[in-house]
Amino acid sequence: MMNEFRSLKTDCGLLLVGLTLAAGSIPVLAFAHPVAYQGATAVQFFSEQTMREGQIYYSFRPYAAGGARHLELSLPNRESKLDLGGFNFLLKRWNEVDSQANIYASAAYGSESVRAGTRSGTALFDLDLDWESRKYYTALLARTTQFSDAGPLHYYSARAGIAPYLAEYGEIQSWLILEASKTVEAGGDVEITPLVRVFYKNFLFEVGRSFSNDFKFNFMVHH
Amino acid sequence: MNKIIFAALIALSTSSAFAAEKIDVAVKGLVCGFCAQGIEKTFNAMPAVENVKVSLKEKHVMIGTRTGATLPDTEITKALEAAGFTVLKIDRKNL
Repeated sequence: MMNEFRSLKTDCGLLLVGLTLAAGSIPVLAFAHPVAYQGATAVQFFSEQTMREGQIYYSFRPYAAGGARHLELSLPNRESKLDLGGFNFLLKRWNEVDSQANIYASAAYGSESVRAGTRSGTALFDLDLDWESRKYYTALLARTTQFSDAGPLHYYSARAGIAPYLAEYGEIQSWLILEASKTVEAGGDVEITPLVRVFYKNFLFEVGRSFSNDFKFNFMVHH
Repeated sequence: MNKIIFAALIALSTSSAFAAEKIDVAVKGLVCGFCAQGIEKTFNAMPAVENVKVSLKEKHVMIGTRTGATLPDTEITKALEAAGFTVLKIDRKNL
């Protein structure tokens, strides 16, 4: 009976992914756990209309990770590629019996490639806050990117999610998430994106499509 | 008679010291798959550990030690804190 129930939950998780893909959504944006357990390597890739990012980092302390990231910006007034090295820090964690909350900060520095050439002196700062239980998930992200030749770029996102069922470790865990995001300098309205997150062991995969038809994708693995 | 009692005590203490243990650790902050994977990997790397199972539902970490190996509470607590969690309680049972 229990195995049948677990199988049903697994099927539901796969169904959610299938329905999302069938609806035309391609993989979403999230910055889950910028610092993992000590000794962990994490690789993350995400893509949305105005920004694509790949990063790899190594947690050399329970509260600190170092690594590199590559960003590609596609804004109305800025098309560029950033190559940065930096650190992520777990500033504060609250562990409760049924939940966990974290504050993370990231800083990275490097160069920017544009059509005219390469400029150094680009810096990026992230502040992440999250709270999650096995049933609910919320997160806030504020990002500032500083350029050597122009004013800063500000990106904000807020997320809330719910798990339709509670999965045990080793089973597929699904989340239904609603994200509000905005790149201030890009103009326009706040972008609202429903998305599906799927966790399986050390893999995280997200996919969604905003109400303005912006496809989003996020993949992360810890090793 | 005294020799027999002494031998029995020695045998009991020896078997206890070298028996495998099942250690049940209640943990705070255990809510996601990444958390569980980190704990699993941390303990699986320890020579004293035979097996480890993480339950998100129970919020417990069950550790089985190898016969003859010891895993003190201090080491368990240190490992879980390094993985980012808070230890609530540690229970031990000889197998």
